[in-house]
Amino acid sequence: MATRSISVSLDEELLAALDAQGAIRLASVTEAIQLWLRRRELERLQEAYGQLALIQGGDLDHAMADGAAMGTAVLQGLDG
Amino acid sequence: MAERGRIYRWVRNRSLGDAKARPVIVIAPDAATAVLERWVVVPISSDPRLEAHPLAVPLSPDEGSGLERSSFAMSWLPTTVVREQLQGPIGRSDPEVVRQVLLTMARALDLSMQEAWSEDCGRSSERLKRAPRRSIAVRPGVAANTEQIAGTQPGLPSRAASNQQDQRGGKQHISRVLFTAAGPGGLAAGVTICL
Repeated sequence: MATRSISVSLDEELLAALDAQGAIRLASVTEAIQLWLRRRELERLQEAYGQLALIQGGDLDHAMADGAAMGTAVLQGLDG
Repeated sequence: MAERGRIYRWVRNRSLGDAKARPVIVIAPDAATAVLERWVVVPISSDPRLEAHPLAVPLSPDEGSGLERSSFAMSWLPTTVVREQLQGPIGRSDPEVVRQVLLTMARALDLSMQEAWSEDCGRSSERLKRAPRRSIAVRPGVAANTEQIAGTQPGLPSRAASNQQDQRGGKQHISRVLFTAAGPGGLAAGVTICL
């Protein structure tokens, strides 16, 4: 995977805590960012589904029911 | 003929004479649609409240798509449809739109499994403590009730199965169910849930 160098300034306390995790700062920072991004992504996903759950009625409800009916038809065919 | 990205109409309640049709976009790869009669599609809604929703992919009404109004691919709700129930195609989406639908679907369903995975199926430990383990009877092929399998309707067919179950006194004690079930939330296929 391609990489790029960036310069990041950290306060001394945070840098000391980072170094306490291991000798390779790159690995520690990468892990921290990955975890942070994952959490953010999951939060956005939860928020997105939360918004969907608030939408009631209208074509969205019909579309959800249609989607279920499509799948039901397939399953009934399999059972038959 | 390449089917991926094509937009068809699925007609609801045909036996009752209801002409209302639901557009769907084919997302199954051509390798599948070329030989199978059941295709994976994503339903399309024209509900304007989906505008800018992160899980809804906008589809433009134009000659290419065949859509009559601004619509949205419901990427969080892929389902399977019987090929012969589709009318059309009425149009086709651009490859970039199809790509967006697939990427959004992957995010919506967390296909990269970012969500924490554990034996308690992601439930928090506190919630798990409050939720007593229950033994339920599941008739093969039918979802028992909405409480037992969240998001499905009673009596709707399900392919439930049984990857971790045993027989005790005639009941199937299931800690997990691998199922394909249709319900108000749509078709859930191959999902492992906790009961």
